[in-house]
Amino acid sequence: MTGRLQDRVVIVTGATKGIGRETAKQLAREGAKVACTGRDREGGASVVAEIAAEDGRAIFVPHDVAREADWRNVIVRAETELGGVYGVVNNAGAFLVKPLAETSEAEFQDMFEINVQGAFLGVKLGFEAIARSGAPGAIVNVSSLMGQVGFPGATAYCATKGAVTGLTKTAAIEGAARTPPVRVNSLHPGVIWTPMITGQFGDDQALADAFAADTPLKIIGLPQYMADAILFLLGDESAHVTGIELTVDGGRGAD
Amino acid sequence: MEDAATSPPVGAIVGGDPVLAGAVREALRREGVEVAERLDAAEGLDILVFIAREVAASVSFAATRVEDLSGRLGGELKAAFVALQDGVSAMRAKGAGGAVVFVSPPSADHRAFDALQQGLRLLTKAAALELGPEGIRVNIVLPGAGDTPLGRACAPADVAASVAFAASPRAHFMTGADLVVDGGRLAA
Repeated sequence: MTGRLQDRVVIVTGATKGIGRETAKQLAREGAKVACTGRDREGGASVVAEIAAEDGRAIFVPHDVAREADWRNVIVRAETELGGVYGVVNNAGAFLVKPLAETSEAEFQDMFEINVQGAFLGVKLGFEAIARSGAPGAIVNVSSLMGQVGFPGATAYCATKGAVTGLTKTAAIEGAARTPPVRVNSLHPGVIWTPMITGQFGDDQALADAFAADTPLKIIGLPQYMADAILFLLGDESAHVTGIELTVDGGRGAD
Repeated sequence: MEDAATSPPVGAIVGGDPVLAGAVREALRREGVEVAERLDAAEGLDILVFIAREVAASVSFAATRVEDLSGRLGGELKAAFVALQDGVSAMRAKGAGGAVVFVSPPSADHRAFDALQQGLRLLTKAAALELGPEGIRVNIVLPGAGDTPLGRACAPADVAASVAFAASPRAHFMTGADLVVDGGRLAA
């Protein structure tokens, strides 16, 4: 069976858990060769093992997305071990729920480095890597519903995710003018039940139920749903889609 | 349809010129959808695609006749509304949730008729909120027109691929969303 991303090399940052982990596995099921990156080596080894167990192809590369040297290493390893790069999923992200008045400059800076600088480097170096491959490519930046609307107590997070939205649009226009072209889109998840959420609010079924009740579709968001949306934005089905904000939030943002 | 039942999901396409409707039909069939000839509540329904017609050539506000605005623009919004009501009735008859996909006319220079596109967008969002608890998802595909940063016009197959995605279980958590297919035009 030929997958939607058969034999294409895709870098997925933050692939050791949550949305990134599920995305790496889903892309591999669709035939992609996946460079899984992240800071958690144990999580990286286990996601690669899970992909291999399904006869998929993946490597893990340790990666701090805010560091350009790390990015260069990720791309060299992807190119030498997997082949020319087709796509990048800038998924790695930091989350912080704290009122504006209590958020320190250092906390804001940390959020900015991971959420914005990380995506910026991924697009910039992704463009170069895709150009070396000689074929068109696609980049997906994982922003958030909170990059489109405000959320009290999450100033730093909303500001950085909003920055990703703007970065994406400009990158899409520049990417369209490149030879070969690169499509760049942003995904805006609502509340997705991942370690990012449970780490802030606790892993508690009553809370998951409350989030579901507060969502028009009355279900809790799962990483699998985001993996499906990322696959759509990466693959040929969206060949004419670039610079868009795709909101996948169970209807939360429609209100 | 979302539960991957034994029988294939049933879809209906309302409106649209033969080329675009045909492309959507093909894309849905590739996803394993059985496309009905017409919307029939008795048959039950999983997927409704409503394709709005283009209602005018490029005209200024000053040159737009009120009769055209109420007749054609109003008529098209009403057609969308009626299709939604009929489609939802048919989905409720089957009781397995469902997916509605509106397809807006291409955004171009139809200044006075941009209201149709925005009317459909808000109909989509309002319907998504109301129907979400029943597991009926409602999304809109917004095609572009004319030159694009990607260097080519939007083709029927581009629109159809996005419709098929929005209608499929792969968009299980997507409702009330805009799915723009315009080669980067709106981003610029």
